Amino acid sequence: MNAVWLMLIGFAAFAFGWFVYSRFYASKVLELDDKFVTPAHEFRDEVDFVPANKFVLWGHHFTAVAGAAPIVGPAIAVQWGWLPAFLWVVIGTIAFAGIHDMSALWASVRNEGKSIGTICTRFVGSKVGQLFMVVIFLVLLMVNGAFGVIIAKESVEQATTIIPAWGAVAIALIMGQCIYKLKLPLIPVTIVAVIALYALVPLGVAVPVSLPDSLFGLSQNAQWVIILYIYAGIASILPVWALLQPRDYVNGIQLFVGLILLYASILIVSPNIAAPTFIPAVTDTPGGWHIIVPVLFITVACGAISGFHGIVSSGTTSKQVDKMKDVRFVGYLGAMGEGSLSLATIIACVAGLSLVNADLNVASWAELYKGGVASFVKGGGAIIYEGLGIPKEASATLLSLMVILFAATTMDAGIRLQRYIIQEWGDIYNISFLRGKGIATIVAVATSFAISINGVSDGKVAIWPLFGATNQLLASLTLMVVGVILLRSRKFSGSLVALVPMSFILIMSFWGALIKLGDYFRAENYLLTVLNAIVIVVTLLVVLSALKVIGEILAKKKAEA
Amino acid sequence: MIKKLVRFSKDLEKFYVGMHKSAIFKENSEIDDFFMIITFSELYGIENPYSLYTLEMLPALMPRFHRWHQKVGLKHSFFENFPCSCCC
Repeated sequence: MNAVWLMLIGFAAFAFGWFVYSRFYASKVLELDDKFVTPAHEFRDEVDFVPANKFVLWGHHFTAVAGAAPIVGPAIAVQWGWLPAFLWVVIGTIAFAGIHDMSALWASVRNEGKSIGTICTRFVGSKVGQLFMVVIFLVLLMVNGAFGVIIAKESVEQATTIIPAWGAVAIALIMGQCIYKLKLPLIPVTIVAVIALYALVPLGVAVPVSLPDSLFGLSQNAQWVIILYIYAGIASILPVWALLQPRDYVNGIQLFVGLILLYASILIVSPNIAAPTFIPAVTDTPGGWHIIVPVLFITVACGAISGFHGIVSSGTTSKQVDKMKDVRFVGYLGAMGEGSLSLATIIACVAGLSLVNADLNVASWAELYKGGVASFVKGGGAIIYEGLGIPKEASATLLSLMVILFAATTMDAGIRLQRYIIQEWGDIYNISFLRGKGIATIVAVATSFAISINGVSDGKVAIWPLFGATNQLLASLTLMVVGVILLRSRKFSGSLVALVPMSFILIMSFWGALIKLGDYFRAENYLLTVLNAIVIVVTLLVVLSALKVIGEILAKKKAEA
Repeated sequence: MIKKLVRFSKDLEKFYVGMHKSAIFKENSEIDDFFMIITFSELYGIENPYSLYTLEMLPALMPRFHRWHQKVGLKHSFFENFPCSCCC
């Protein structure tokens, strides 16, 4: 089969999701109405609450939620063949992620722009809300832990990326100075910054940088993890305008350029798919998994549905929604953006790789396919080379840079958000030393570092399945809160649009977390065992409380009838 | 065409500023608070604990002082004992 078909079918399905399914959900269930005064207008303060143009807001939302996960997850998941990963990414985006993101945004806009944790407190119960915050903290911890390992691995495997990746930090620092100190206009600065970033790619190819094989007994991976956390610690306490803001901005532009290059090349090259359609079980996989259900669903992670999107939707995006109808545009299309990145990853892995490896075909797939980011980088790089003629090394570096920059900007922001939560806990529980910026940063960096270094020892992203499971558990909890809100508004049949995907993803991710608990315990990885156990207990408590509330609502309805 | 370019530039600026507006505002207000404490402590005759550091900050503050006195319409510094280095 030709990969262009995969792309066209995927886009047609996304179009159905956007024009039909989301329209039905927005008008019949959520009843989006422009007469509703959004928090951006009601509490307008020109800082947090500001009505924004829907295209600008979509750009923000998309770049804030896009991390390395929609690339890493599908790149591992195609080991079961192209069909399961493709189906889950497409159906997951349309019926799960889109609905989740749009609903979370809607719930927040309807509730004064409050976060999903606070909304949970309001509709389900105050103790449950506090537990919700624990899940959010754990997701952030795992995002940082997992991305630390991914960047380190990518830095070792793709030595040509080091100069452009760290050059991007320098470019962002200079950009911040140009805009805030020298007051230069944005457009010329943007053009120079983007040109400089891409100019560093051939330089990186010419001068690959690698660390010594072993330093004080530390492997290359471990050395990179240490460097990354020192950087992340410093980046998280620097003023945002100096580094984080220009870095996120350049990264956003780079994301759009990367996606356009990749899809244009797929259209030109139209490569054939080398992967088999479906493999029910795999014997040797990066995560150590063997079966497809439920593991596929927690492996693809953000490629299909992600709880992290709910944190962003209800954290910053909801405070900037201009009109109620923009909720569909920003929320649903934000998830579509992430889905299209995952779709490109699948095509790069199942079709692009065969352009590099002539032996890779349906028969040899299970033996030769190694999974992970490297497959996306090599496969996607080959497609761009064939399609647009950009040299192989340079196009692979370009894609590797995309992964590293995504992961790094998410990690920078993740450490900062983690620090805010720790400081907030210091306030709530009256623990004075946690309130300070310095100590809170050290705690955030140290906990994430402990998880990253734990994953480095066996050369795998050990935390990945747990991150996927926790992230999707958070998504299912968000959908559950939305379901409770809809039931309370007496939309009983409409709530099924949220509650059916919620039930499915809750069962899959909970099942996955249970299997992984046994795996971590047998592997004597007690840190991850404890973390996993906390996730399972907290989720059970939240689900039981929500079920109690749902039961009460339904009993009341029955009594009335 | 020019109108479209201007609109695009404005939207791009919104995109640049939007995500981190609140954090920047917070940092700015912290700096302002700090400045207020220093200014008011001196006004009320309380010894400024940061005077030594303020002295060190002078080279960095001078261009701002110059911009400020020009902005308010004074050709030179109006402090007799504190001339503006940019005008001398």
